[in-house]
Amino acid sequence: MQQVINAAVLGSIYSLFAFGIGLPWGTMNVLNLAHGSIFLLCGFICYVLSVKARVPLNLPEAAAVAIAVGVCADWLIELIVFRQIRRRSSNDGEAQLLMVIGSVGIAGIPIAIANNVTGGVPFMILQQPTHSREHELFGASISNLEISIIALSVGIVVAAALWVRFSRHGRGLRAIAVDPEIASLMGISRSRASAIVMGISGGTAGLAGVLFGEYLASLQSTSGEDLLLKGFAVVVVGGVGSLWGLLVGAFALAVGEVVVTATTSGVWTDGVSFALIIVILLLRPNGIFGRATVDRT
Amino acid sequence: MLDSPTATKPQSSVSPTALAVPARNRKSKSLPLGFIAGVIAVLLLAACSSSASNSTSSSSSSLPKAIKLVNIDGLTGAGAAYATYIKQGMQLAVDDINSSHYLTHSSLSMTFEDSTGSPSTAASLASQAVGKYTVVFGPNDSGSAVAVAPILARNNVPTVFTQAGSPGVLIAKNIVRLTPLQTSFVPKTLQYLESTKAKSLAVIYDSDYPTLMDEANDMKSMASKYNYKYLGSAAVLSTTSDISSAVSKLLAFHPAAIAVLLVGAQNSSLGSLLSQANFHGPVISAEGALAGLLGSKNSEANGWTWTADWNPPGTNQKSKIFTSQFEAKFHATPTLWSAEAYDAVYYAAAALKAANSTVAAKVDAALATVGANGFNGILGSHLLVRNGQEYSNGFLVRWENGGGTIVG
Amino acid sequence: MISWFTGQTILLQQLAVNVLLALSFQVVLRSGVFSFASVGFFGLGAYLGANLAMHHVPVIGVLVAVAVASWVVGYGLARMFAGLRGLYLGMITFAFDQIVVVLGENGGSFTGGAVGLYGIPLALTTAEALLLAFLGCVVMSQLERRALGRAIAILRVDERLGRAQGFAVDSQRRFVFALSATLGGLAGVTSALLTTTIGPTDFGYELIVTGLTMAVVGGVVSWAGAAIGAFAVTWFPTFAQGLASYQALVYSTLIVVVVVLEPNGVVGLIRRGTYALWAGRRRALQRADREGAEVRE
Repeated sequence: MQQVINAAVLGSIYSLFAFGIGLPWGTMNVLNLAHGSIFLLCGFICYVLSVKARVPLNLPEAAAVAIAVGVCADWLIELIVFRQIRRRSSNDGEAQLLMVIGSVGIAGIPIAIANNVTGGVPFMILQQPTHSREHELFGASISNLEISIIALSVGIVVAAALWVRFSRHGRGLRAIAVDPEIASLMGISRSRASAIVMGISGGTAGLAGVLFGEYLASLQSTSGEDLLLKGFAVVVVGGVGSLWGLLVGAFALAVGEVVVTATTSGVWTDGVSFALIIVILLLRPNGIFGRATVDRT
Repeated sequence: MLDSPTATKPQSSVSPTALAVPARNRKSKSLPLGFIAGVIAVLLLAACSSSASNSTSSSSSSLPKAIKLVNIDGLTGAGAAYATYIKQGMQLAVDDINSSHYLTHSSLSMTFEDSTGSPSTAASLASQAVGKYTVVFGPNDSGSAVAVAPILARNNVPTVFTQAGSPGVLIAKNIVRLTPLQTSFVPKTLQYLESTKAKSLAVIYDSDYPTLMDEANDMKSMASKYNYKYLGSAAVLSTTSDISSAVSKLLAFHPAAIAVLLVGAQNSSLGSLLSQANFHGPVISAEGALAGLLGSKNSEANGWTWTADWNPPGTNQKSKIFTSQFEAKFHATPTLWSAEAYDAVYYAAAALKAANSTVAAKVDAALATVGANGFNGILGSHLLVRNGQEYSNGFLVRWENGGGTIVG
Repeated sequence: MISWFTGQTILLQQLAVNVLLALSFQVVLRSGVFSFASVGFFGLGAYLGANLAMHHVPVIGVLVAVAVASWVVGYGLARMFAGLRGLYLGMITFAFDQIVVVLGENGGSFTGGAVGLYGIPLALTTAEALLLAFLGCVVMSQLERRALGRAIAILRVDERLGRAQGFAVDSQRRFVFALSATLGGLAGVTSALLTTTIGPTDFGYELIVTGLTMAVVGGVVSWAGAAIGAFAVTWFPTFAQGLASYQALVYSTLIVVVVVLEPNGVVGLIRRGTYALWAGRRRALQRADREGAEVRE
């Protein structure tokens, strides 16, 4: 039973993190490899504030700071890097590749800063780890923190999925994903949409940074990269462009990993995500929920 | 008719677009030449920017006035903190040796080269160090150490490593490693476990770290010797951030005691997970726990016990002097990385003194003999070095109050 | 002076490996085939080559065996991944690379497990490695100049147009994929035979980033871009030594700057520069043309 809770928490974290990768990818064809680095940056800023500068922060305050940092960081990336690349590129394919490389370059910056300051030593994001209350659930224990992780992550993704489906702005986003040029002819501003999408993506990175940093009790400069690779797996398995698929993919991956860890010696756990990517892409390239009609050349 | 100057050029009547084709072909034909020219240019440029080499004294059978040493380590990048502790220990040792005239008329100078944590940069720096320095102190991370060792072995450079515990490092007679192997400390840790009277043990370890895997296997095989039952293990990868499922698997064994063989932030997470699960039995660990807990000062890991090769203030006189000197100079408590580095420099100096020469072959031989009969250092008063590897008794250390304390 | 050469030996060795690796990325990216698989072949080629060398197979035999094996397996993978395009192909080849890493970590005595293999015979000299890299450049330059090379370039801009023109697009894509795999395999075996070590940490996400950076910063449009990128990346630490703790920061920032300002990398800059010079010369000739015509009137 405890393993079920572990899988639930892990799946929630994956879904919150992968949401920030899947949203820009599905709507604007932007693969933001800097997402893991922004995740780290938000946690790192909390560390600088609460441990180095000794500003007393509790968890909700730290979350607010992290979300703000994430939103600003992703906005900056969109304005300075992605928008410029799109303007100067002759076609979409070239722009895609350049944005990927550009995001890789950006990713190096927060990691370099974090390494300079922490020297690679793990760091806490709050002055003291929060002791959240435990509850009994069918013979296993679950803490308040774990409950809030599950609730927030799933809630955000579900809310976003509903928003994209039913709201006017959401429809605009879907229109851009199908064909940006026609969408702009219909009056949907691509630059505003991309700013919104990147802002949401950055905000979720910040929230994930704080939640995960508290759950694990500390982060280190490599924490973002490992999650990044898992995030890809989640998006690919669930299907690019589908937020419900994201949830399914995240929990499928989490369950898969927990099962592998519990039943084998644990050395193959990382391989689960990559094997899933290959299997899904070969058998069902659009993922479980992906749109079959979109032509992506 | 007068020929105007411009009419003499026949090409001027050709349209511009036709000019484009020859220009293109010209360019692609000349590009391979340009490529070769580029190669030569860069090599010359790099030649101008690197300093001329000077060979160390080769024929004298006494020590020169200035002896040059170099430390190649990742002072920036991931792992920079440990390289900095090492640098501090070395600086202190060099100052002490020079001011106490340990080498009578000779003084040491240590250059610090930054490999930025990259094995290829470390390899490059190592090959540049050949012939320039008497002794090379290698990088502390295993990946860079394994890259550097073959180069220094091929060129027979007297080399000293600290940390760098993987195989593929002690590959030749001119290389010594002055950090005792963690696996040699397992018996002492298990003795402590026996003293807690815990009846059973389960182990969690990082499977991509061979040292930790070996320690886990040792804990399995030594179960009967130290009177506990080995229940099972859970393995994770050092890159895994969320280890909760492995921990659940571990706790499902219902062990009386747990062994933690993890690196980095995983140690801190484990502390929180265990306290969340209300596990209050004894927890034994390994040196990696110190590195993982240092930055976080996690109080949930209080009581974790392991054997380390050193912990401030140490037990012998040299140790205590070192600790107070370090605190005075750097305003911080020294760590085992600094202590190992301090000992490493003194060891090299002792070898130089015994060899009374900077000839590589003689220094190599001295590196072996100094440790053969016991060396008095901070890590212990009777440290042995056999086949390049150091052995010591170690200290039992417990994590309390945000730091380690010696308990045995 | 001789000792300077010994000092630079390691850099020249790294240059040879990096040139081959950069070419392996450049040849696929130039064709619009988003394959990162050459890094996986780097690992496979290195392990295969190391084992052969440790069994006293002569160097030529080792190189040929690795090249042939990489080609065959690469071609097979190309067939398997035939339907995928763009970022999806990138994802699946990325997953393939990570699976090779996991296999390497669990490969027993063939791969040496997580530590890897060390003590591989030093079977290649620096000069031989540089010759191999040079041959790679020559082959690529010839490929680009011929009809096949130009046809392949069409694939990047508009695949459907290429098909409409009658190009055998599918077999061309497979050819390019297999070529990339072979170059990756050769890069791996060269690295193993020069450094005498190979391990799962030597290839993987970081090597993908390095290879991509070299190809894109140098310029994906031409083999010269791969060579320039390889030079830049190999010599960067030497030139940046004065930057100390800011090295990583500067490196990342440079990547972003190049990618944003010049999509075709350094080669693109050079071409723009020479075109501008040539355009200036053309204008001067045109003016001379007009004046000459006036006089003749």
